[in-house]
Amino acid sequence: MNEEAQYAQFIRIEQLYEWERLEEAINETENYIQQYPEDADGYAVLSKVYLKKGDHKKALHWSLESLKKDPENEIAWEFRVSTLYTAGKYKETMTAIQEALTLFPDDAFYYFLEGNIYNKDGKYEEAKERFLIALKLEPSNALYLANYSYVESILGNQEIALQAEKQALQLDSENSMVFLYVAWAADQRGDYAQSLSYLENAVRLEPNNQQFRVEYLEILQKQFKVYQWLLVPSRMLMKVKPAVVFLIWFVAWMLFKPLVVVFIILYVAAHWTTKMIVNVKVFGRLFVKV
Amino acid sequence: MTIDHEGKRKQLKVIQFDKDRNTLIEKTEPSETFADVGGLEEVKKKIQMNFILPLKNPEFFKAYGKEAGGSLLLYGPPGCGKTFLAKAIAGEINASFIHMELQAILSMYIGESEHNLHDVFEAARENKPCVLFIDELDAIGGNRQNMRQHHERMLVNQLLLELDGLDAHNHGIYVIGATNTPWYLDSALRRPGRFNQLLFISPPAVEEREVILKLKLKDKPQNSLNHKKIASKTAHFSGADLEQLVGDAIESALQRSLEMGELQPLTNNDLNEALSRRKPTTLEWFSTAKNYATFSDVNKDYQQVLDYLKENKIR
Repeated sequence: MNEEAQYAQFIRIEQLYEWERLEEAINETENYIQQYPEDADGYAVLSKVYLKKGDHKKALHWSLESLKKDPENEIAWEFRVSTLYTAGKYKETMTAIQEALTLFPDDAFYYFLEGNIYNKDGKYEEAKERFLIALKLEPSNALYLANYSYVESILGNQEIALQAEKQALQLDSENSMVFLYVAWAADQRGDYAQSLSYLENAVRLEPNNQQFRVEYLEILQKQFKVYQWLLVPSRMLMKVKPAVVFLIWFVAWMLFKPLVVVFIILYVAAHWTTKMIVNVKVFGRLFVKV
Repeated sequence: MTIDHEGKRKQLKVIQFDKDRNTLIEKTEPSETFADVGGLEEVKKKIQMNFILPLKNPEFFKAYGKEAGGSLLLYGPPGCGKTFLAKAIAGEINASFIHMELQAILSMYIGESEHNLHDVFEAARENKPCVLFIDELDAIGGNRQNMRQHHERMLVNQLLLELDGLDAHNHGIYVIGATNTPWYLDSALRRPGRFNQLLFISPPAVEEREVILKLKLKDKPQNSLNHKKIASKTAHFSGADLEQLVGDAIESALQRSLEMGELQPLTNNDLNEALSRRKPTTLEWFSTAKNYATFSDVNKDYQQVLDYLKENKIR
């Protein structure tokens, strides 16, 4: 009976979390912790709710509290690492991932996050390798496939990227994050129409996510041919190392100064004009804070 | 039951599910009608057309294949009077009123929640004409993709079953759902014949806020309060926000009274001070609703929200 009640309360927290009624979820979890103070899951779930609320400090605090009760609590580790990652503390995330992997060496999630961090650092080969490990452990994970598709697309392996993209969408066509990554993959190969269609789905599924809204508006801008042409150099430069990018800009500036100036002016003008057109189309106003 | 000169009941029969006793209980409350609902003219007009006039002029509506009864979904920021409006509909058509809350019918025993839900619908059928008001509909009929537990789906399915019975057994039953988050509703609940009519219940306009403030401050010791001015300073406040505001002001007047040792009347200053500490809670709702209305509204269900945002310069 008591176990049933405990389970029912846990389910209620999960429900509130899914419905994004986060304040109520926090209250309910606090009640749960009061009733079952020795259950490390309660503290870990509180960390999860605070992460969704965007309160990283509290999310980290409660994950730590959970790990004090049970150093091997899976939920606490997952949300500790996720919080560090979301907060952009990549160095600390990497350290936490290594610790988590000693406890859960077969947990694909940590390889996936590692891959994401390498991706952000421009270390695409390392990222690809981590995604492949994650996929070996969880071959039917649509999100991992979508990320893998993105990194293959950056590396220029468009056929493999397209195959992974297709597979990801076949496995899960209701996941906004999957749509986001396949949209990036499409964007990377210059298929802006396809990217728009994917981002439309992402933003429709989760319009409250600011990143989706921003990226959706950006891809709408990229539907303008003039803007597309002006983006070609930046797309090409993305594939080379930052030092090389700097060198190319420097050489271009020394050799074709007027051309570079014209390019910059054209780029800025195209960026703002297309942005304003999109704003009027979507919001009916020129300037909008998304 | 007393009847007034217009033929309307003065008392409203209210039925609620009592969780502790696991049964339905009945009570009576003073009846409200549309005359008691300030503003919301468009909403009242739509309700008149769909709910009230078919009862008064059944022959016209029958000729066009429309019958009395049906369902309606009220949505909007919390604390803006959805429950009050539903009660006023019941008062307007001399119907009984069943107020169903999720918390009350949910049981931890598998199958019992569905049983409770069925009992509530049965009670509505026994008390025709009846307005069955389902509060927090999203909590019962939330998006099924988010529902991992089998028993949660069972409750949604039971609700669909009861609603589909509207045609067969539910003549004279008016089901009104209310939700703050219509975008989380299961799409199956939004199909024709179910909750396909959406009505946006906006925060009170300035005149309504003045009426609410007067009502909340009635009979309290006060010193020439400028209700109109306070109302004009409380743009976007919900009814519940205004109640909190008055509560805060009363608290400071009370504290002053205790310090002075004699009763101190409530002043404009008390209200202004309370106002400086409170922000309208509806804005958070609007920022979410705006995103759904702009980016996720394929059927243009939330156009009313976008219109309201534009008219009231909410960004």
